[in-house]
Amino acid sequence: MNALAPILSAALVSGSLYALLASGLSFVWGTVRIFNFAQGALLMIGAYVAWYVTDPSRAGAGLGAGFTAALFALAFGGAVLYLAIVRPFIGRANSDLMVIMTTLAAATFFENGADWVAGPRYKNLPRLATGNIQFSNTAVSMQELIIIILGPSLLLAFAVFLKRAKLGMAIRAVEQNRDAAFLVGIDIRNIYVIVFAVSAVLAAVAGVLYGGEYFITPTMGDDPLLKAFIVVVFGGLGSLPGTVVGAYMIALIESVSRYYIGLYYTPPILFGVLIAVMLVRPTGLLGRAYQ
Amino acid sequence: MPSMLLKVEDVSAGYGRIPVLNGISIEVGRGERVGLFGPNGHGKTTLLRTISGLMRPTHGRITFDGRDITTTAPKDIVSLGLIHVLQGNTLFPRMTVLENVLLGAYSKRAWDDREENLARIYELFPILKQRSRQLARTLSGGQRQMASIATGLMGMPVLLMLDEPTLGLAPKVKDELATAISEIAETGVTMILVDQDIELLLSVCERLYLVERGRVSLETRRGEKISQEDVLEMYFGKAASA
Repeated sequence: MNALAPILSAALVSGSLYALLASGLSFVWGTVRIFNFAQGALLMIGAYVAWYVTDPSRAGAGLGAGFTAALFALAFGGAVLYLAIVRPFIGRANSDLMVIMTTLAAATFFENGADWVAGPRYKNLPRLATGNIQFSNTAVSMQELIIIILGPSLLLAFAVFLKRAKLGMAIRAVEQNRDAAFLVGIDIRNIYVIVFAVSAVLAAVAGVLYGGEYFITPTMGDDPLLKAFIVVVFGGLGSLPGTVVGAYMIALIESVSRYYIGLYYTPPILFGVLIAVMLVRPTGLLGRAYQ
Repeated sequence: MPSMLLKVEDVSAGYGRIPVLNGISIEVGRGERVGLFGPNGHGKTTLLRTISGLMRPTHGRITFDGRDITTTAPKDIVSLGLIHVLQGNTLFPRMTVLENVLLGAYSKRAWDDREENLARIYELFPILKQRSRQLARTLSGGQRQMASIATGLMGMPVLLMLDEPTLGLAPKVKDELATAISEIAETGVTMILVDQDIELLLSVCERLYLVERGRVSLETRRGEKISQEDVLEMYFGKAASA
């Protein structure tokens, strides 16, 4: 029995989802120098917003409208999150620790809020497309194929924007040298708002894709956040290529381990790999040292 | 007497509770080139950082072109044409030379004229044109300093502040840079030049301030001829040159 195809397709699906969520984390770390523990909760909110707009028992406006609504809601939500619980601490002593607390608190608040508003019953978004295609000895659903293609395409578009657009250049400038960015006239406070909005939109995309593939629950973002955390440390904090490479490698290791060793021992194996990488390369695969 | 472009009045500033500037006052006239010198750690860099808005004064007032900019955000100060080139050729290290220089024109005021200014800058520093596709961190110290100054010029300065542009450079590179700075000065841009190289200051500037312990301890008068001896006298007192 050939195990290659099922392992590979599973790795590509989860790799794309991890890459979407982890890029947001890594991007925020690179520019604002804080770690956003509410990123998983943002994914969850994206999925719920899409569900409320899409589901026939609620607004019933269809998946297209649901997807769009989730993107806009989370762009706005990401900006508000930054203004409410991150900006007040920027530039103060121990701001990084303070923001760990505030974003963790926000995550808990959002998860319980979702439980309170939507109830504990599992929800599910319709699939973006139905049907399967045969890939070697494995059937890959159209939904999975869309995830495999959409994730990297979106991140590629994002990378091109960072490379080419004036705003993208400004974002990279802030990441590389804050004082010099101030002195060429970049409004750093606006850049931070935009960075949060963009990373929340990436989380929303991941949320809608998750919501069609798995169940929507208030805590659906916890496991992806943990994996994204492993991914960014593994790939190198602040490095977009490192994060994407890290996402697919972690997904592949996870997928192989699940197939041959089992679900139960997979998390310890992932952390084992992470620790091994940290011992050899403390900054991650493609990361740089931050002071 | 030329009309005053920049006025720093009785400004104090510092890092945390450590004061660095203690009631410093300087004036720069339109079209004037003014040099600041003095021992390290006595506030020259801090003064520039306070003028450009990277630091807030705890006391005093700064006006530029008749406008109070004491608490203005750096980006708004840049858009008035007050450009500060940082000490230690700090660039955006993982961007190309061209990207660095283009970012210098980020403010709305300068963006539309960027192609024109870029051509002028390549004329002034031909090496930057050759290196335009290279990452900034791979440049030599002198080239990085040229790129820094070029980035500043792309912002179309009304007042250009250069902080120790020749710091740590080999004599030959230093000369090259000094020539370029003189050329920039000849375009008529108002300039504040901080440097340890007195010869450079004397060749470019019309007036000098000696900054010590966070204030101006001596200054030369307008229209006064200054020689190397005068500067030594400012530094070490009468006895040294006598």
